[in-house]
Amino acid sequence: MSTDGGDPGTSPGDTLKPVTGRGTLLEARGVRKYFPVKKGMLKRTVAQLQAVDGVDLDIYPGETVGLVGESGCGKSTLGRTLLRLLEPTAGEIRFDGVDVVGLKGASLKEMRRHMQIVFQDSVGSLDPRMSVGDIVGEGLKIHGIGDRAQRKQQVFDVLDRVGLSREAAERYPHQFSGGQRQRIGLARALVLQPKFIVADEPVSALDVSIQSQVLNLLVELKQEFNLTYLFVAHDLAVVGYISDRVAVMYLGKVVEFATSEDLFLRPLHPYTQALLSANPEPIPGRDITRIVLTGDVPSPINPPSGCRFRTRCPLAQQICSEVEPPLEENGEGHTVACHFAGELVPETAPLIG
Amino acid sequence: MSALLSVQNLRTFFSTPRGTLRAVDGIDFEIPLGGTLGVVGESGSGKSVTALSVMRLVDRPGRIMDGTTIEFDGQDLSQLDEQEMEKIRGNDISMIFQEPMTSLNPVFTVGDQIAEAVKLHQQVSQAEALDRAIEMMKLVGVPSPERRVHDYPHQMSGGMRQRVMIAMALSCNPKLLIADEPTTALDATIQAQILELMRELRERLGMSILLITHDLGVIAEMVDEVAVMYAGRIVERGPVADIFRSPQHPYTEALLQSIPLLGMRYTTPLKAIRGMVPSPLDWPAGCRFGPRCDYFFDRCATEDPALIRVGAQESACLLCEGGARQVQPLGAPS
Repeated sequence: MSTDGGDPGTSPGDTLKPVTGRGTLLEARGVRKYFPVKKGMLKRTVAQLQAVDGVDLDIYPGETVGLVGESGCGKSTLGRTLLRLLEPTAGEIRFDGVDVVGLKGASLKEMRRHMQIVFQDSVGSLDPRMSVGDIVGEGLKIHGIGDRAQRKQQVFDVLDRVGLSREAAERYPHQFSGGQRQRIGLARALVLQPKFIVADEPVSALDVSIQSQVLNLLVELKQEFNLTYLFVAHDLAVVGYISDRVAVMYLGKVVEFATSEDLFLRPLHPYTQALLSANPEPIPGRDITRIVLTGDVPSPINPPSGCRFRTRCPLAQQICSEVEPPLEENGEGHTVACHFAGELVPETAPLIG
Repeated sequence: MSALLSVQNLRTFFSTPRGTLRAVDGIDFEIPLGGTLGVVGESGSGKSVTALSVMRLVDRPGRIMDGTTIEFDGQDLSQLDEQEMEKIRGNDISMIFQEPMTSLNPVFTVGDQIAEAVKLHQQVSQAEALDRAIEMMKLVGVPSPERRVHDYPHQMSGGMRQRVMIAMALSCNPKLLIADEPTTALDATIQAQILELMRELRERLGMSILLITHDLGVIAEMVDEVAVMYAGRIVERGPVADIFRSPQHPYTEALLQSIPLLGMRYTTPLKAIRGMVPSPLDWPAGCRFGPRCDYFFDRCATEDPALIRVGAQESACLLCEGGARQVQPLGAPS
């Protein structure tokens, strides 16, 4: 598909598979993920860490949705909760029309075939004692797909597709560079021919020249296998590059959601604007009005009342501590959660050229 | 302007069971008094070993080879013994690292750690040293420093810990600050704070800075002069504005084109540099970038190009023998 992320319902992905409802592949409503904070000998729960606190998200077939935010904003937790690698505390998640939260046993296993994940840490996520062939083929084995010879062939095919040689199957993860290990992680995810892949910081640990190889590969694979991605990363330029639509998260909530172009040309939330202006661009002498936020991200155990960004927000007023701003439409396909959405725009709009 | 630091033919090798690892293999650079130099490169380019070499912090099996001179403020650091070097470290040259958590001692308060650095180099009492620590923490923008001076490192956020590291590094008014990936572990908005702080302190204190980073964006914002490292060598150097506008070495050019700029979309493929960084145990013959270079021609396989002056820049590429190369502007499709 082209860059028309604003109208994802008509993307070529629609022709691929029967989808339900309004054509969403994944639909999340009010998803919460709290982690109990335990203390003392009896491990009593003394507080809840609100990692993800009420997120609605629609992902359409064939598109890439980016999730961007800083450490601790809940973006990785959200990605994992959507795949039910973490149990949601509350909320609904529907994938391909099926309620994911209620699934158990065989039907959950079947669902998992279609939803895969690629991790940032290619060292920690690949078993060092398994050969690459076994790592990539494990999913096929678990799902009982094909006989031994067929599985071997499928592993070779997928390794070839991600740019690794057949010989790689006989070797072990430590014998590969970071970029190659990320390709192994991709091969493992792809071998089951999933519909949906959560890519959790897949290029963050890579050098820039290798990062571009992997990003280009992700784009090619998406088109070739009609994939849908949720791309989680902290780097706004990378997320904006690969995504059709981008959700900006802050302290467990989505604060702005728009097409990639729209988000950069018309950032409405002061946090998005600050993130954009903080991004160091390799353009010397770039004249920007930098919004340097004061302070640190507050604790998700005890988030601020009202708007969670208010403690660092240059626009904050009385109302921000009293009323939590809802995520509301502001222009077509562009939602933002701020009482003063867009008030800083004139200064930050010329950020990109 | 006279040079505060002048490094000639720096070679830092490591003896390994598999042979000699030539991490830094013959580089020259200068930093003028009050000036700033950025060194940019990918993993394995030798940029961090360069910083450690200047600090003389290269441990066995690594060593700085004969023929290297590291002239700092009139002395050749490569000839000093460890005791003499200890007087320079922290006093005249300080260093901050990427990971403030592992660089700070978890069992002492941050105030004690800054005070210790002060006492090591200046004859002051503990109370005076603590006052100095508070003063330094105020300088680097730690809120309520009188209270936070008693914090342990784990009680602080990553951004605050990096501020403490900077406070410690600056506590003895060094002439040269070496910053090795100072903001790489930090979130974007916190990185912006720290970069802002470093710019402000540079102006206020007038120290020289050697900034090591992989991030071309940080280079563009922080320094005027840059050296691009690849495979243990400087392949290009000169004014940042010139190099980013018209990179003369094919590696610099490819590196700049491989980064997505804000607003770029996947419909335009990124420049990918094929292959991988070669092994420092066995650098390629001829031009070390040759095997990955789009402009490779027969001479590149055998001739190891030296830096060639092109305008205000220098580039170690045979194509620059006939003057400046025509290069696509940044962000253009390749």
